[in-house]
Amino acid sequence: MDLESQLRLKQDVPEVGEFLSSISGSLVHRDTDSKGLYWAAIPSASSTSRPFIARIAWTAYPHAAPSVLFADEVGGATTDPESWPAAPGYRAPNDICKPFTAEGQALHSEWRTGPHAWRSAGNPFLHVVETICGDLARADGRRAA
Amino acid sequence: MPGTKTNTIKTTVSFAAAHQPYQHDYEPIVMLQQVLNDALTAFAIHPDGTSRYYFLHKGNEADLTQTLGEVADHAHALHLRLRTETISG
Repeated sequence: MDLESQLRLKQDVPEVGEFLSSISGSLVHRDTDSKGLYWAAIPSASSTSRPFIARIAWTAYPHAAPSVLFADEVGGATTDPESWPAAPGYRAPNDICKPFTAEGQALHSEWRTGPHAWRSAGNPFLHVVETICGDLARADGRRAA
Repeated sequence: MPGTKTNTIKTTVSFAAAHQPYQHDYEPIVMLQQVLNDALTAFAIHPDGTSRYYFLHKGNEADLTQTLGEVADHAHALHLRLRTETISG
């Protein structure tokens, strides 16, 4: 990850952390993680269920959508469908076919323009996390397996 | 009547993927759907039917058929948060 991306991420990360804290979640970046890798713990709608852990990996910030997968824990594997929400477009355990992910943008070349084009304005990290949280809320805590 | 001040509602729409929030003073009778349309225009978003756009107000999704006056509940300022949901994927 280039220096510009690192600086922009450093600028936007606090607001993401504050948002997640406001919903009893958290944002984690460990010293051992690569520069653009973050783990967002998002509470499940079911208070008795463990939180969802979104693995969000940026390569060029804010100019490209991040890879978004779901892990069983911070630093954990993304291959268990039980770690994934049962939300439309979330294809456990492979990818999320949505405009806010690198995987979705790679699959849909038509999303490069129009309303699904990646937006680098504002705080894209916050936009991604807010969108994931909205999708998870509508899934009502349901898991893919 | 000329010179008569009306009780407008200072409305702010924030959107994470925008540099600045959208702000405008609206009459209380204006419906949220109209504010949404105006905000999308301000953020250069041109809906094509494959995404849903909605407002969060105090953490809950707002009813777009309500008026600003109903949502603001006598307040003179209102803060809405624009969110999106991709329908196709």
